[in-house]
Amino acid sequence: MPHLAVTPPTSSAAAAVPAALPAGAGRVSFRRSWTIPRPVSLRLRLRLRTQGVRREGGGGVRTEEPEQEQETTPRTFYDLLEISAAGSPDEVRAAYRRLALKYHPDVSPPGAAAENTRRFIEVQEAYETLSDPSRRASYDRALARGVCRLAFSGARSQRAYYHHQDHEEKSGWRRSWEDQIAELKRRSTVKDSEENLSWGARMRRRRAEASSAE
Amino acid sequence: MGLVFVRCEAVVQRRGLPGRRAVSADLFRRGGRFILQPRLNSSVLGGDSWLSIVVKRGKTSRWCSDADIAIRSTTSKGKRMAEQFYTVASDSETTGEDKSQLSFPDVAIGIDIGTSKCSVAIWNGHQVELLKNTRNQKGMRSYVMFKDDTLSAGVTGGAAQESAHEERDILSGSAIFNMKRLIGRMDTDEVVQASKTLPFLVQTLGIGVRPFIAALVNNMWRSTTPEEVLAIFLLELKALVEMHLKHPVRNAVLTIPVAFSRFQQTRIERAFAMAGLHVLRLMPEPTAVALLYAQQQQQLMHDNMGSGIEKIALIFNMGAGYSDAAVAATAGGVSQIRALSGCTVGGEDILQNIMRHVLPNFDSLYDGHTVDRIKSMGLLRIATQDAIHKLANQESVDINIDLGNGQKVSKVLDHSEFEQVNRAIFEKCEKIIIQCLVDAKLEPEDINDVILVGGCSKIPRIRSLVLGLCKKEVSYKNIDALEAAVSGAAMEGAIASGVTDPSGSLDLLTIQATPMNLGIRADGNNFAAIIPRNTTVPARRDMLFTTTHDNQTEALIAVYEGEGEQAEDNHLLGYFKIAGIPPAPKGSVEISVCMDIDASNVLRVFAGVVKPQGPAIPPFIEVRMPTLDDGHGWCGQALAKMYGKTIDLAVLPKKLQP
Repeated sequence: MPHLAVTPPTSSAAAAVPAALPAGAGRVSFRRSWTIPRPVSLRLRLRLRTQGVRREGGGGVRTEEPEQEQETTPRTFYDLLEISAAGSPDEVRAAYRRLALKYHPDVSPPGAAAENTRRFIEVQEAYETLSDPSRRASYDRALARGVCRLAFSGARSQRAYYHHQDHEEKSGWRRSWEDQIAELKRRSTVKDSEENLSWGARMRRRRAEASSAE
Repeated sequence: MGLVFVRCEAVVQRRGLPGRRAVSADLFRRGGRFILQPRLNSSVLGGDSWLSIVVKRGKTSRWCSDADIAIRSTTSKGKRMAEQFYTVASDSETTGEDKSQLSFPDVAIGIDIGTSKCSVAIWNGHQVELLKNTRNQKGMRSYVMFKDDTLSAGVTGGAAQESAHEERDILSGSAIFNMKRLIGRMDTDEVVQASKTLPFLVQTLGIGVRPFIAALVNNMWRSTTPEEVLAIFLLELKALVEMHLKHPVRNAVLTIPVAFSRFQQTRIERAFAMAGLHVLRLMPEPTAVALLYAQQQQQLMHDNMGSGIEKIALIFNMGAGYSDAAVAATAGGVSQIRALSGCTVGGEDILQNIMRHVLPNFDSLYDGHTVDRIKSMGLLRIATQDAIHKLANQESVDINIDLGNGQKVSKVLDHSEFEQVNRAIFEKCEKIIIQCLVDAKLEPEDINDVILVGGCSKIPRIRSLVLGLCKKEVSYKNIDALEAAVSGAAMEGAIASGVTDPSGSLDLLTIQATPMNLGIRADGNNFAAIIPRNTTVPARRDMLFTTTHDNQTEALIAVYEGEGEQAEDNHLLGYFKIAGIPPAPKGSVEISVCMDIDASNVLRVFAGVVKPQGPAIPPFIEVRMPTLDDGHGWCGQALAKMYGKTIDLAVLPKKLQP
């Protein structure tokens, strides 16, 4: 970036941005004004299938209240996907599919579409992290160190610009040590900013730094 | 019983507004029924709101709406005909009449508009059914013939009865075809440049405006547009479906190539709107095939949801105008598009390469578009096409044709020569498949099935190339190469219309991905991708930018889509300005640009200043893209000329962020 000049270090982090936006402006709401809502039957059928409820013959479905939405905010990607931290890649995928059938806007009731779209994007981020071995490993390390405040940022800025997603795989463990040292240094220098950053935003930033240093 | 278009005058009245206007329209007649369509260039098609139409032709006066094929009233031999008019229900308004239409099961049909052939399919309540035209064809040639006052499209085959004769007619200059390659492209586009050797007229000025396209009618070039041609074709197609279903059709799911830009998508939607069809969904062609594959896998596995083993398919689709590749993972009726890639090479390029190969002075010979040259070009095209088809099954082929004017072509073409001539095309195909595998982070061994579809998938070299890359011996068998995309579209049409099937064969969910990077121009002429390609949709991503000058108060957000590293290598979708940025040293202001693709694939861009904060900060701007309507080629240059670098943005440097 040749004609870039100084940007003074600030504590305003990417992840903090959405919250800092003026109300009604930066708070981007999801819309789906142009989609055709699907009738309840299909949604119900798909949902019942996700719960393992068998349909009866002739397409008749047991009419049952759709399951209660989880009230508590999930704390980690594992909680979000409703699997254990030891879950196998297959379990991650199966959980993702199950939740996609629950939250994907194509199968959402019209009223819940906006909320479900938001949740689907969260599920997507959790899945993308946990289905990639190297990203999952970094995430697990971060979890173990207890620095993972929470997952979602919606701000995937740095990673989006540089597509070097495979970078971590190359340097493996060495980088993980470096990560930790850098992490400690960072923590001692900029104490506050850590608080403002989600795990996802930090990891992406780190990857971006690594790739721009190449 | 073919459709005949007759031009006539119609009187239109916009609802709620006084005054009637006369516009020209096409009335076409089938049996005792009449279908009226305002001429596509007439002003009545501007808005979404509809009008009342009275047709006065000779001594009769008739009305009907474009969406409603049945004629409601006929007055004959009459007095006071000019006074009689009826109000026709519109798309945007609901009246009693509209309700009667709604009693029809409004299931979206599936349409696959190919560069060369087109097909249409419906969900008939139990399964997908491909419709045939009166000549018993499922794949109908995509063209529109302009002759005197009548227009006829390839759906019915026009006037010609035998297909050999039809082919010659198509190549006489009077027919427009390949509209899928031309639609929404500027005259600087290489695809448009390559289309200049087609028998009809494609004129370019090379300044980034839409090309001039014309058909030969009575020895005159009559101008038209790809949208208009496509709309006329769709009208016939729609009539075919309505004849079959015996009720009006409103909604369609359409397959498009992966390489189609968002701008091209808006053009194709407009062509559909002109024909009175609403595009419920646009599906990249390989994802429609993936849907069909997912359904077949689902039926094989029955209902062991969740525990279903994931099957991964690589789909390669190569038609006459475009090639696409996709990797789809499917289990339990949920298919996930892992990666998509596409390019604009297809059978048409192969054909042109071979034509140039057998006739080296091809380009200079056919520069003028005189009538006899068009004729000999047509002969060459037919012979070459034929040779390529034969090569799929035999070792070598003789090309012997007399082009007239003492020009003769005599050549033996074999496989190695064919492959040599088209090497660049095969390399491009290879590139998109490899890119697809890399993007999906998969090795060839991970692929369970290789699905080859599209007309060009019959070419032996293409088959061996794709199978070789995926290290497979054979391709997936249960999918018809020519019917897969349209079947998938019809299935999606049924799903999106809320149809359920007792056997569960429609309980499918496709998780789509974006085929191209979406971003803005930043750091000079660079392209900063905010939503990278193959991001699952719906998606929302944002990115921070900063100013490049001290006290810069305005910033230009120029939104692009594509694969190029330079902004100008990509498609410009639109632009807007953020004004009122508080004066500050360069690099200290933070501007957030957020891109959002919602469930119906609508792209919105939000942008505004996020640092500094305060009441003096202007509100965020939300823009639905694309905003450009036409002639977008020169927009980027005009912007650069007008503003230079004064309102540029830069990506906020990462290192300096904590």
